[in-house]
Amino acid sequence: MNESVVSRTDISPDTTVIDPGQQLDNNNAHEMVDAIGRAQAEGYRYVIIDMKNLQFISSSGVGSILGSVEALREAGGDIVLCNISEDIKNVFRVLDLLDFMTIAADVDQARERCAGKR
Amino acid sequence: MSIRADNLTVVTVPRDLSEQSLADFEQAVNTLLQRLPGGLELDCSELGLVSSSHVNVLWTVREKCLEARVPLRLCHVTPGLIRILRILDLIEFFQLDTDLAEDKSLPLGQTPPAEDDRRFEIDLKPKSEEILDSLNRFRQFLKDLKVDPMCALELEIVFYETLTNIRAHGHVDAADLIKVRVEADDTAIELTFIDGGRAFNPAENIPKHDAAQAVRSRQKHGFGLTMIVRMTDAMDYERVDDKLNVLKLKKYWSR
Repeated sequence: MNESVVSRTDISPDTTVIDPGQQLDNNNAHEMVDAIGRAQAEGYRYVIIDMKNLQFISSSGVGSILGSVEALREAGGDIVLCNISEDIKNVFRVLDLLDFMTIAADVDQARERCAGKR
Repeated sequence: MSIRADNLTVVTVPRDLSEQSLADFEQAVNTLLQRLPGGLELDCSELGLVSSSHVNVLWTVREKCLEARVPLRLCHVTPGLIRILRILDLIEFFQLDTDLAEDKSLPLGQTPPAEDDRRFEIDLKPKSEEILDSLNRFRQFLKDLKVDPMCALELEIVFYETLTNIRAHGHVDAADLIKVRVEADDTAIELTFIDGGRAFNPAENIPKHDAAQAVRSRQKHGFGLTMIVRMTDAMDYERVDDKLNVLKLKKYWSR
């Protein structure tokens, strides 16, 4: 498991989807921070993190997402996690973070959540 | 619902918490509590995948039993439920049928692996690529042991976070080797990390974790040690001959 390339797809004028790949750890956490930061700088208020491929997340991986949540919410947007497995969800639960994250079943539902906040 | 010879009434907690099944379950519990039985036993065998709703159900029954002064016990408790109750600091509020929990909690395969297959050893340099390589090997070891996926991911995280902490903060010489020794048995798995870096007792340096504050303050770092502590059950540190750190982390399969 070494596929850890962070990729981004813009799906609407204010919403972008980021796929962290299979592993989000010290090696690519900065890529996640950069991707979210760039999206926000380009005017995207909603960042959907599609975890369909994610199998491992380290503390820095969690931090790379968490560190940007408040900034997007202050700008009237949000970060929405989707396609999150129970195992990865448990990592956020262990850190008491589940209640602070917006979670959707899949990208479509995440888009609806974003639309509902507009 | 069944009545046992010892006057304990057993009710199965449904995995499916649809409106109807929840109503049926609540009705069964309410009906039998009105009869003031000698005790209520909740059969949790169906709770392989536990949600917060299941925990709410258990907590509600506990409150009702307290009010009715009927002893409550959970039986056939799954490893997943035990872990969730432990994470939520609720496990002490429930009486568990521990023998059954132990029997049912083994994540190892039907046929126990040979002794050699329960040990994992690796020596690595404190380099990012060697940590990743050793993580992949450790992951395969856990897979061969047939550890359940949620528990395996926690162990992988503990393994990775400990090594990256040693690399980042231990001032370990680049040429030095970090030794990792892992032993598993039917009840637990123990990971031992030995490094020649500066003395550091993680047990004395556990940061206070406040999730709300972490979100507000846009915290990006500093979760590693909290994750290690919360994903294991015991931590033992020893400084040997003032030159080696020996850190032992233990995780019980059923706790």
